[in-house]
Amino acid sequence: METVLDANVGTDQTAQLEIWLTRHKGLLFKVVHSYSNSRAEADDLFQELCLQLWKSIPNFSGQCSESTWIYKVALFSAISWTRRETKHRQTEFSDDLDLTLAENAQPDPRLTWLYEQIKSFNAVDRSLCLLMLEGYQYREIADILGITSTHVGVKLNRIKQALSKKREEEFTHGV
Amino acid sequence: MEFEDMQKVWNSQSQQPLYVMDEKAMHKRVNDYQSGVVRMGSIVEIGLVVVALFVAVFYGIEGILADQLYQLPGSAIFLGVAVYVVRTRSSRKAAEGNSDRTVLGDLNLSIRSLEYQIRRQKRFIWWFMAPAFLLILIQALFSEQGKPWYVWLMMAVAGGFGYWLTRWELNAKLLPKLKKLRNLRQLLMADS
Repeated sequence: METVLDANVGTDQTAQLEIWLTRHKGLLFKVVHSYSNSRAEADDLFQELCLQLWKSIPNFSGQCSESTWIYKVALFSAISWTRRETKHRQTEFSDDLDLTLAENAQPDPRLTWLYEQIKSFNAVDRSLCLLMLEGYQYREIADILGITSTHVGVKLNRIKQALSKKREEEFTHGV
Repeated sequence: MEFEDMQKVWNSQSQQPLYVMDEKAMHKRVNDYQSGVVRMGSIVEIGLVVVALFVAVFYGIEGILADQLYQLPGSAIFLGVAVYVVRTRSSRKAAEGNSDRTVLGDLNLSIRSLEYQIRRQKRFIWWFMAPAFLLILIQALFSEQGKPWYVWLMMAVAGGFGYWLTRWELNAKLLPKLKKLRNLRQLLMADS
């Protein structure tokens, strides 16, 4: 398989990773935020995503767009990621926990709510929800996940219903 | 908030990213992490090949130089062990390139890779411990001077430790990971 990388980096995987991070870090942040429950976890997961992206570079053949490839790698890494022992990590890396990621001070409360709902889904439904919100079509989501478009449709309808229901419940209870 | 509004809220993230990244620190940590993990990924296999080749060469040379031909079967057995590890490693590497590049494809690949490692760990006693025991037995039966008691003790402790290590990795890491990945595949395939 021929690798399609930016012309100016040659076969330097680390340089390519830097380019991808510059272009697509927003995408990675969304995945990290959807799959982690604390700053330490976010930090850990982000590093895991970077590592898996770096490893995936030789396999990128340009058959799909860069962002689709990065989403595919990031989602697989996130759903199969196993949290390390947080207590141990906090002791070991307490000085540099904030070095890699630092949350913005005042996120939109509606966005916070939306992320909370995404986190309430199982690992697979989270990935479907993310792809849907990113504007991918059923066919594209099916290609990324490796399931059929019909299957994607069934799952996404259920997710949309669940989101609407949660929103309705919160309005009903005056939240 | 209707679904369309949720979409608008979602799209607003491009104006205000969720995190800020300290790029220098991140690159350093990723570089450190990469080199460590890449090494760790093959260190067990390479270590086993080196050990098996060392034993094979050592007993082979000693057997020929000291005219102790009874040492040669042990040497051949460990050469076989080295070949076995290299061949299974090559098969695993070849399989790694065969993902269909979808999340499900990667899941299947990871599951196959874990199943391979689990099979190999479960059979460790047969493909590594048994040849080692056979080698010791040959030495004990044919060596004129025999070996001092602490050599036997050392071998027994090393063998026991090796066995414990493989069982620990199997139960604490590989089997739980396999269970998790199978559950994920089940989730992905549900309703299809």
